[in-house]
Amino acid sequence: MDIRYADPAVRDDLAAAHVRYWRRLARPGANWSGAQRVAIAREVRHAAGCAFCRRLKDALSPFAVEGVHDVHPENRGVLSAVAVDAVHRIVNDASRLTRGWYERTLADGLTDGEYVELVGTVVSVVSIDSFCRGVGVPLHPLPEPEPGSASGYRPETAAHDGQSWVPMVPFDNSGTPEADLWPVNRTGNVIRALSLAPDEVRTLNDLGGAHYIEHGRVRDVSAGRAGGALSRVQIELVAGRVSILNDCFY
Amino acid sequence: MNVRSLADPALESGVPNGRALLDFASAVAGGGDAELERSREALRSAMGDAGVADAAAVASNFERMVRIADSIGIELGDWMETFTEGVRSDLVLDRLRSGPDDSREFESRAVGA
Repeated sequence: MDIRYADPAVRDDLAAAHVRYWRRLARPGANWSGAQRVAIAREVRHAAGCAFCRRLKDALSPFAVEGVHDVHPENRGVLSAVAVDAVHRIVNDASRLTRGWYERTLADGLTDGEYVELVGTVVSVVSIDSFCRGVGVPLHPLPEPEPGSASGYRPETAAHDGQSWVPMVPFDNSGTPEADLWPVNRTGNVIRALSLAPDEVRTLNDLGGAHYIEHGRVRDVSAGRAGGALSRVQIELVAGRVSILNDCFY
Repeated sequence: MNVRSLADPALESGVPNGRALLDFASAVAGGGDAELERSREALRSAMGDAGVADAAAVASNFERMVRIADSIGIELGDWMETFTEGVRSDLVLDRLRSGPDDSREFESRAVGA
């Protein structure tokens, strides 16, 4: 696996984090095989040109339009229609997803674990691809999937607590295999969000530390990135603008 | 920082190189290729190659975070609710909250977001 940025201004830790994720993407996860995970990544890129998604985006309600998504030819028979729908909507119109849609997605065949790992995969690929577009370099070729089956791992402590649509690991994660995900009782829901598939939180922490600020320092508003080109207030200006444009309440 | 500049980049942000950063962030989050190229070069002129790389890293990080929040349907939680109260009020962000039903399917467009 070789990800390089010819531009020397791209920090080494960013490139290293992207390499680590590309390796993880190729391996079986808790709920999807390596081939399925790479197929999800392929679908992320394909979704940008989906004509049905454009119609959904233009509609007053994205749930009142009939049609089918334009599926990547290599993904036919690899990803179910409900998985493809989830990928496309998260890529193209995430701010208008609803609990009702999520529940229909489960009723149509995805498990909650599959859904959470799919979300983690989609958002990681979106982020790395978005970085490449931002600095003006070609997207990295997707990795070759590694063989093997999904592990089926599910945290024993994960449960619904009224803080999200999906089960999450409790804030108090001490004494569990998920103790490394965040300092006990010190995190936010946006970090716990993917904890039904704990490796997705590990990826979030890894990529977030390279792209933004290490998780443990986010709440310290004086904390910036040592040696970075942006001050903390400049970092938050960029973060806030992107969040506003994505209609994100969080 | 003038948080209202996040919603209206024409306003002065009060942040050094704020206009170039806002324009670049806007382009990464939804601009066309020409807009992105133009804003990238403007930011490069203002902050150099490292500024472009670090701004792209932050912008792309939040392309991820917003999708996590939206696709998992998370609540703010007590700490975030308190910490962000002023900003949320200034930017009228609560109109974008999800509810227990599908009411948000219509909300964001109805308010012209």
